[in-house]
Amino acid sequence: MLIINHLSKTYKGGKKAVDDISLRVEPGDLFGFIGHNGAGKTTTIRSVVGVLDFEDGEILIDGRSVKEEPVQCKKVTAYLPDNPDLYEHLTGIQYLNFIADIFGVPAAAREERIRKYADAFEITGNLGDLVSSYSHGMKQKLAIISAVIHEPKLLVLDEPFVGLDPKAAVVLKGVMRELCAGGSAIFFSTHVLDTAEKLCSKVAMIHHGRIAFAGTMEDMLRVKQGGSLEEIFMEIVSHEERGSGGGAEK
Amino acid sequence: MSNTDVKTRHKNLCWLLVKNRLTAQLGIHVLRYEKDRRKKSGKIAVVVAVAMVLSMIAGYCGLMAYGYASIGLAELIPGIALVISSLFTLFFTMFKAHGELFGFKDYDAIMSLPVKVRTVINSRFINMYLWNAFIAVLVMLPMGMVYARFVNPSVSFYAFWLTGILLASLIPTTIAAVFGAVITAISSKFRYANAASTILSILLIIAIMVLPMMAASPGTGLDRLFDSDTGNIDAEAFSALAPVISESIYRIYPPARLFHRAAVDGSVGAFLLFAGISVGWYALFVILLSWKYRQINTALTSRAGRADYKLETLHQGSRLSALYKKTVMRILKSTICATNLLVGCVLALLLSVAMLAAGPEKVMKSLEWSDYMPIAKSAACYVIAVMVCMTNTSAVSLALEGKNIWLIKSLPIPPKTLYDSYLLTNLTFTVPTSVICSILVSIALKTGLIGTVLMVTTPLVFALFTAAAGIFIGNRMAYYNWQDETQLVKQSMMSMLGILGGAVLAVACGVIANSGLLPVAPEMMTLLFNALFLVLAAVIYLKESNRLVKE
Repeated sequence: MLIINHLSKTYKGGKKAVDDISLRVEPGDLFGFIGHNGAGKTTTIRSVVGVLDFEDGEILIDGRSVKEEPVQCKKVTAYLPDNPDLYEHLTGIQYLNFIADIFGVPAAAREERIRKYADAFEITGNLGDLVSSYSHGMKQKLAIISAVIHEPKLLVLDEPFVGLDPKAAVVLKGVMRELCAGGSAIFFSTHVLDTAEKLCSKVAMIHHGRIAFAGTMEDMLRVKQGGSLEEIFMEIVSHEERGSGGGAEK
Repeated sequence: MSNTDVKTRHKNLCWLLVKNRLTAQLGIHVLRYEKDRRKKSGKIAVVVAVAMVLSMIAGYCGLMAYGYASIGLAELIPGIALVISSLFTLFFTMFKAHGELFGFKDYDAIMSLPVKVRTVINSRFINMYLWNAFIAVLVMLPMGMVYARFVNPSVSFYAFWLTGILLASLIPTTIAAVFGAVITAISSKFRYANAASTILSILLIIAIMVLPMMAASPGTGLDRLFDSDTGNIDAEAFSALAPVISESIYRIYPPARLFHRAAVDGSVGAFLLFAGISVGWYALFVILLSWKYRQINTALTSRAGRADYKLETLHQGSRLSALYKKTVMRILKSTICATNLLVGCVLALLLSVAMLAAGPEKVMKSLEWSDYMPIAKSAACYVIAVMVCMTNTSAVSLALEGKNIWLIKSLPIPPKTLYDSYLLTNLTFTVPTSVICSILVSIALKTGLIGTVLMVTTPLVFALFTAAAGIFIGNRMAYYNWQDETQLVKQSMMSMLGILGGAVLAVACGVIANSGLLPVAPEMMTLLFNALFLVLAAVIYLKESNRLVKE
């Protein structure tokens, strides 16, 4: 569903944010992307969803190149940024209708999905209010509903649990599992290693713009001889830093 | 901590707030720290362009003063300088004051700091004042230099004039801030505060345009300068002219009388009164506003949701209609956008209705355009076109996406559909306005068939051209990291080009077609211009349609 081949991205000023990374996300995968601040997670994600241009490498979604056929790729993808800025001049329902129109979701289907997810996240009553009146958590919930309204084949989420209350976080995990069971692929970044360990079928660790590990969760726990994901992450980070002799990126 | 320490701290806090705001507005940090050369050179280009425009304003003011002094009317210069500077200030601040004082982006962050409400108001006001004082320097310094060169005034003149420059913008800035505060206070009571604010602001524009025309004096008497029989200058009328013009100026702006007496007659009392009114008016405003400031901002920023929505039947629409509706609402729901971008259409409607209701002769006379009455039938279409062209929403539509640009870039939207939505939004405002105004003016001027056709088609063609050109401008000059809408809509080069570019072209075409410079009938010239701009609009549209959205 998502293939990243030798992706590199250098920002103006010479900083290499992502350095020759390759990943493969299959349909049904719940793929966790882990790394410290500034490791290159958001750069990778923004390149995947077509927000950021990149110089080297190739990204394929559903067999199509993000560079060559951006609109076709985006049609089967949904993206949720870490801090979603939504159209504040629209009401919640106007915003969802806007997104559904862009993806061409039929009226009956959108009605059913909005009802289902808005009820699950308990924001149905707020859909008639302006987005500008929403709290951070409510905006996050609305952005999640807008991301799943067209039943994407690939869902790309950047820190999706930030700002959610515990109940909403449980609902989101359920939604993610349900989508993957239906054949969608989810690629998401997170700092919450405990959640990643319990939720993901596959995981990749990025450190200083390079992939330090990528594989199934079982592989990781086996190769690293037990221990929690948190301990493994700390070991990889400290090992890399000893090796490179450098500090973390800013 | 001693009292002195506390006072010093408050003083520094105010200056810190002002400095912080000025740094953001001027983009100093972009020039100092930006590594991206394109962004840096873009900023430098804007600075150079703005500097050129400002030096042109200063040069024009100096030349105007020179003109007055050359014909022996030097004593008018102080009053005129103050009025011009005040009008500039009022014009630039009127629709900025609302966003500068209320509901600004970092309101929560600033109000959570250990500063007094009065300090916050002072800092926002001082920011506006500093910009306006700069305008006052540009206007009054060259005019004062010309006055001094011709009149050789006493030393007191220099002291009064230089201090006057610093005081000149206080009263108009405060007037603009009062209007902004009153509009905001009233609109904050409404559920749809932005819509209320937009309507009130547009009503204010209409009032500002119409009231001076209604209260207009019989004239300055310039026509009486010349002997009607011989055409020679009438010396008696000439010497009587200065007081007549002075009175007209003082009627528009009474503080100009005090400043005139201080600068021309050296009256210390008049100057102290002028300074006292300027400072006192400002102090009174700050004291009164600080009393209700928090309440007004709270009413503006806390939008209580009703949380009673019930999901009803939804309908599917096309991508284009979704983007179109979103863009129209984006513009209409923002007071800054609606008042600044739609003012051209409002002016066109006002003028057209006035032409029909009061008759073309009366309107032309009140605008002092009586001399142009013979060419009114063939030139009116350009006047409508100029005003309609000033409503160029397509130039800023892309930049208005701002922090939401991630959405546009990550959604499956072909660039052409996005640009079409911006184009349609622009035409939604300009096409009905053009048609309505053209029909009203055609009826008022009793134009024939060809005249009516040109009256309708010319503004339409210019509206099409400027909307397409707006896409071109926006796609090259858009930026998304703006601090507030005022900066984008009122102070950006793309907005200036969008609003004034088409208007300047329409003026140029109107002059060429009607001045008799070329041996072609005005109607034929207009037809040729229409064909030319229609082709240009089509070429720009086709070329821009598939261009990628600006990074």
